[in-house]
Amino acid sequence: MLTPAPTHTGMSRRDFLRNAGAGLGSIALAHMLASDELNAADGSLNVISTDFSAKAKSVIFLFMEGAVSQIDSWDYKPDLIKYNGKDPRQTIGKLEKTQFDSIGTVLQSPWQFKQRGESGNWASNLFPHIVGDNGLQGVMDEICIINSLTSKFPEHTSANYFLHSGHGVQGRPSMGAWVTYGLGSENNDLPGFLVLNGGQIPSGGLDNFSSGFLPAVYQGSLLNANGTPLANVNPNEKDLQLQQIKRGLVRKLNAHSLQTTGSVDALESAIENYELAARMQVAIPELMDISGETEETHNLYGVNSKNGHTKTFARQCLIARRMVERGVRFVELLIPMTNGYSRWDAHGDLTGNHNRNAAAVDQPTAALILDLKRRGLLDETLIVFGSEFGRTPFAQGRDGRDHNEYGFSMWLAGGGVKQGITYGATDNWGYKAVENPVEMHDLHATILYLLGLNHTNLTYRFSGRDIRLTDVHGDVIHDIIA
Amino acid sequence: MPHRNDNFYIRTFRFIHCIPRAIVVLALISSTLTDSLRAEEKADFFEKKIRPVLAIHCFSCHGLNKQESELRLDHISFLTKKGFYGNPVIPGKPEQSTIISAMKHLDDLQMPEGKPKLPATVIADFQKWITDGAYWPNEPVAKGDSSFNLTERIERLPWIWQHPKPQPLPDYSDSNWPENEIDHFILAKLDEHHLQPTEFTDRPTWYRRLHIALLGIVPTPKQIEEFENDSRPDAREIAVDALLASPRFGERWARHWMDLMRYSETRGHESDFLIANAWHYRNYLIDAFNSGIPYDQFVKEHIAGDLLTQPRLDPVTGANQSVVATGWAFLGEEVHAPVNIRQDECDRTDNKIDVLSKSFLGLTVACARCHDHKFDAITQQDYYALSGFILSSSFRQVRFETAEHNRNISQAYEVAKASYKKDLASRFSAALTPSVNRMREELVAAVDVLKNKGLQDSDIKDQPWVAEIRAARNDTAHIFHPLAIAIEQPTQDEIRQQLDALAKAYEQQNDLATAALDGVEIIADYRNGETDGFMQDGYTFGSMPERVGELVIGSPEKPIAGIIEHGAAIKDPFWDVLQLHPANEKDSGNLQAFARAGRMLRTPKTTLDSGRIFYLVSGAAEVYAGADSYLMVAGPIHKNVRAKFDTKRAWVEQNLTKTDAHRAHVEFGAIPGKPLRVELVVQAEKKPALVARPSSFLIDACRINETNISVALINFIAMRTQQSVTLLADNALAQSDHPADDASILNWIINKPELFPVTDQTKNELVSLANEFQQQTDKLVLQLKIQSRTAVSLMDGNGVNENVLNRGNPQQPTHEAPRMIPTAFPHATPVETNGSGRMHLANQIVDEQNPLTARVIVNRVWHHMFGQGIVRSVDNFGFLGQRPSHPELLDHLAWQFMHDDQWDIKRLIRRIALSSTFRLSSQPSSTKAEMIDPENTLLHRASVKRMEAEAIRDSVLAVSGQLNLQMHGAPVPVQLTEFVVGRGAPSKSGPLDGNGRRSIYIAVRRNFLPTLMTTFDFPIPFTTRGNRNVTNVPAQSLALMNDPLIYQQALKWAEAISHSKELDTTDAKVQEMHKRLYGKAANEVVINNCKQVLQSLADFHNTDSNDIKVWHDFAHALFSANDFIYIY
Repeated sequence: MLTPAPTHTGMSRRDFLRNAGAGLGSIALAHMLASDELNAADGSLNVISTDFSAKAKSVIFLFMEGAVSQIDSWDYKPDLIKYNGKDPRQTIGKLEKTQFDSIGTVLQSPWQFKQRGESGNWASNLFPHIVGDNGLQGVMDEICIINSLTSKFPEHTSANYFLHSGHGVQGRPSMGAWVTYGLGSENNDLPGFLVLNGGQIPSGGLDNFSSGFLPAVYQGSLLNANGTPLANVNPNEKDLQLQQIKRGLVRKLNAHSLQTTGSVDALESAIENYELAARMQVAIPELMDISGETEETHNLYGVNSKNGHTKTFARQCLIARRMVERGVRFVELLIPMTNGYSRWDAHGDLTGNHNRNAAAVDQPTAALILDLKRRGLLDETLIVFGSEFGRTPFAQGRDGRDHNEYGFSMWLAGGGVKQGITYGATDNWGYKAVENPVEMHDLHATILYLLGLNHTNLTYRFSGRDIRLTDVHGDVIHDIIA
Repeated sequence: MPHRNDNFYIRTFRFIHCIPRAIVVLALISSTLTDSLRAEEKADFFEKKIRPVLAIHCFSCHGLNKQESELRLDHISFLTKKGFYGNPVIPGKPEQSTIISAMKHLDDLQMPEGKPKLPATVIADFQKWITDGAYWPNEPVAKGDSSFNLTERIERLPWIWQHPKPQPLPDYSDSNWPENEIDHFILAKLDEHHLQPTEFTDRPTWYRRLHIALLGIVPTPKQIEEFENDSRPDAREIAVDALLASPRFGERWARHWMDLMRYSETRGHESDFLIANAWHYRNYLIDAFNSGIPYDQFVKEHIAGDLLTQPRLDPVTGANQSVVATGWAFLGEEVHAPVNIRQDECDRTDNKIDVLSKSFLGLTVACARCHDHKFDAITQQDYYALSGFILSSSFRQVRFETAEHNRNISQAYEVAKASYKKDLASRFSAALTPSVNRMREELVAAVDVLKNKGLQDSDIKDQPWVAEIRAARNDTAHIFHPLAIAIEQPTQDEIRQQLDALAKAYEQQNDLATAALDGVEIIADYRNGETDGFMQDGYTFGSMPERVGELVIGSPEKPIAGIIEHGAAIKDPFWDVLQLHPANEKDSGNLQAFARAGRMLRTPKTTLDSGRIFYLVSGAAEVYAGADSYLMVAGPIHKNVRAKFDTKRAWVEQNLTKTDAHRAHVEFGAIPGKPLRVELVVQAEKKPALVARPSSFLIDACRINETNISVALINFIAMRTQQSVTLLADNALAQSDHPADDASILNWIINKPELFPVTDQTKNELVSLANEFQQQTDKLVLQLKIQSRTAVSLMDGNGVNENVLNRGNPQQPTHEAPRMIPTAFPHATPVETNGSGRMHLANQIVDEQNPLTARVIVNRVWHHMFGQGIVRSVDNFGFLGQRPSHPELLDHLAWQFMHDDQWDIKRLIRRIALSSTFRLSSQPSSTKAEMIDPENTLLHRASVKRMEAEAIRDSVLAVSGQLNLQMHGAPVPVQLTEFVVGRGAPSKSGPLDGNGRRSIYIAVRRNFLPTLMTTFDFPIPFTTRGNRNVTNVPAQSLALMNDPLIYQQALKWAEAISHSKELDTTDAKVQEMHKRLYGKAANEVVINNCKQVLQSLADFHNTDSNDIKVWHDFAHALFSANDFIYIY
């Protein structure tokens, strides 16, 4: 399936630039519309398949960077209790090389597992709001747990790139970029792929949200949850009148120059961008301003929590809801810095680390689902909660867990996903995926499917090859789709 | 155990007949256990222990490409088939498998052919593998991809494989239009499409276009006016030449090249570690473009700048410039703690091949990593053939500023050293003649004395020969020891008996010494002065390893320090004075304190079997083992690639088993003030024993069979001593049958002046020779350049071919791919050298027969001048790239570039800049033209271009008067903001305005690229990017409106304008600003518009129009207009 880069097609440069210039139109969609003509022209182009309808309109990805331990959250393994303290080489058998190569004993989870909700899915009490512990409402019947994820990389940066772009090195487009490339945005005043920064920039840096070789318009725009939301969005001129005087001059100069140079696409697009930029100066602060939300909403999310990190993530989740309401296509949330750069990466002090991180994200995450649901938005919003890999069932040193890419958990909610189910399984130890293993590429294929995109058709020509998010892999996991 | 029968036990027993029975039983039990190996472990065992051995030792003769004796060993179906020599493998029956008997050298068939036996552990692995059923993964037999046919592939796109030829100039319609040959081709093509070129643009627009294309900054109004008013017929030539001569030119064009080399000063990944001293490469590029070195030279320096016999030296400082070019190889992303180090090496290599093949050849060779190229004439083997060049070289920080200067001194020093050695040896040996001649008599007399029983110690006080024999009684290594034993015996028979026993003991010790190296694999042997495989960075280890028998010059107190008994690579303290510049950056990770530069000995790279490396060394060193060329050394599991020792002569281990590396070389960094001698570097299962080898003359002496043995011994000793002294006199010790024995005799002589006295005159002569040498040395030391900076560079190693990896999987090596340029090149020949062969590759890339090199660079230059290449896909000339719009023109230009222009890029730019085509207006000429050529592929007009990120920022600084023209130097730190954040952030944030320096001097930290740059499409440095994105997004408008740098510089500009005395009216100010930023005069309408806005601003600020606030806002708004960042 070949979808040549837009600049290489018979589509006129003007059309292309107009789309790109608007920043928010959909190049891929434009291809689909223009495809008949293109097929006739050189026979090399295929339409992006639309033989299934979209279930979700947008995605909110709650990225738990550093790797949440699957056997302490969603993947219940009684054998870890039975063999706690034993030599894992004796009980589990042959062990794979780990990042730190400091292998301790089999380590049972410090958290208690129970069956939850109507669905009876197992989960620990690490996330009381999500699982509905202590009389809390919980959202266990909304979520679909996948216990059989695998990755190919045992260290953060490569695994982060892999999770985001389907490729373990820098330079490929992030899934948010692909989605926006495929679908465009429904909001004319906001970019289609927004990353809400709670403080923890992941390993690999901003390239996790890169547009790679796709046009820059698709790259994730980093919005800070606290502080200045977006680079250069705050006008130097605090006074609107002053802004207008200066804008008047620029408009006149641009109009005059268009007259003398003739109608040039790039210049016209730049003029449109200038106007959009002016609108963004208004739209982004408006988006970020949650003071108009009700007190009940604030409390639901934990905006006024005593825990500063919960507060930050609450703000992020609430803004994420406001984003999807405004038609933003792909929203990614970065966790707050609960303890320096340690994120979920519990090489030691598993209990302290995971409790701190869970305390930050638990209530806001549950609230996001409840809030979307009561507003009727959950069906069209796909929530993805997960990490770049999992952790080992045996200890690193005494009380930590090392990286484990062979089997781990994520959960999805809303957006056309089955509710209250568990899919796939690891072995008795929660070490390796053994039943219905799910590769990153499968996850990507499924996310695209839920958005109405066929992952094998969403391609971009770069460096002499038609490249896709799923490379040459990926199977849609139909079993989890409602 | 289904396969076993009685025979098995018999054969097994025979096979291990020398082992006690109890162990046999144990062995059988343990093999039962191994039978239960799980499939997964079998696979693991196979991929780690079996397949790599087969691949490295067998496939080159018995693989896909070659099947000697009609035998293939790269698939189990072949291995189990009966051939000339029986079945290579019978699963479960190692004793019947011929591969085992061949590996053990049991019969005539001995493998690997002509090579030493493989280590016993490897053979044991094979036995275990066969015993366990000879596991082989379920995979198809490797085939030469049947769908891949090289000739067919070449014919698919024959143009790119034929070297460019000069083209006849085509006919065209308008004979007045063309300015030069370029225009003939352009016009002829337009004629074909019934199109006419549009009008020429006006002079200011042409000048601004040229100025930005060549220098990357907007011109000043004065420059524009000067050109406008220059009525000379060659005004354009003058303008072009002036700009080409500007130092700003190199700063502009170096940055284009940096996009290709994915230039960065950090390694990215999690912690964004520093690539120490990477920025010297940036300076190299600026100088290379400014000085106009020919492109073929430039390419040669990139590929093999470290190997040029005559490197290019900086005319002022004498620094080696050529070597700095090789640093590009290490500017990619690197992982600091890869769990699979070999996979990581393959990924790093892949990136280098991608950069190399795209940048220089316009080919996407990296697409052939896992299979033959899907579209182009590039095989998978071609990919791995290029990998070999990379594997055969390693990383170093090179003392580029001083290396060439010090090379001359090193040569002078070596000459002096050799000559003084010779003089000292001949003087000393001549002076010994009388005492050596007397030796026989002295010994006879001494033996007489000793035979006198009841001799007291006091009796021999003044009889040194007597004392020496007596002392030798308990020193088995002493030359007199057999004699001392013999004279104690009452009868000849008893002497015979004693000496026979002694001889046996010596022989046993000799055997032990020989056996100490049994089964070890020698990686480097510096004992015999071999220069093959002797590699160093700097001159610290002399011109070759010191051989046994070499004289060591001492101090004036002891002019002859001794004679070398153990050959070794020996550190010369002459070089201890070398230092690094205090501001030199240190390598990241654990390597940072390793000052190897200029004093490093490097072994050849070897394949790791046991992974345990042992060095026979004395002295001290810091060691780095390039385990799968892994460099970062910051991760927790690979720290053992570093080691340190400070020891007497001993075997020292560096254990690399934990790294799981496949290949390694070792680098010994000498430590100033401490000695270092490296004799041997080996790989073994266990530490070799350190056994002193007895002198051969001792054995010979014990075997003397004469009537009077004592007399014969005395004669023998005297004769042997005489012989050693004669060899020394003739400077012929190295040619001796037993040089180590001669060396030990001579050292004994040197240390026994009471036995071998020399005259005072001789002593004085020796002392004065040593003094002279000392003085010469001191003089040479004074001439040394002591302090140097270092640059990242390649260091040549031994030639290593990579194996073709099945589907790119490093666990599945197949046959070797000999190093060479891809086979489709008409002049491709394999490398024949002991080194990496990069010089060969470089010569083939710049050979005029190479069809792509000149075309690719000409096309890149065209791309930068017009905003689009003749081949638009500038990094890919292959099938999936685009076809050239003007193939004849590209060929013609490429040919001219090689011949007329002598590969000079400035001459090529000049040619393009002076064409009529470059003069065309960007205004659409007619609706018809836009319909026929909407993308302007035919160049019927100029394309409107947007300035690159750097040009925008540099122009803002130039306009405001804040541009700092200082060149070179260390990078200016990036300013850290809320949007330039993350792990591994630099410790210091830089200034908002980057000290006014051009953008090329701002630090390029992979994970911390400045927002303003990335907003305007500065490329992420991950691989070659010859064609930047040119996006058009609102973030760019936001940047021009609100970026603090633009706002700050607008104020600086406003201040300069309002303080200017010449610009005394508002009209004059507005006109100056308009021209400064947009390169053209404002007309009346625009001036009036501006004045109205100035008035509104004054009203808003409630002030008059001279207020700086008014001009600040005005200047700031001007930056947002399209006419600034667009080039017409």
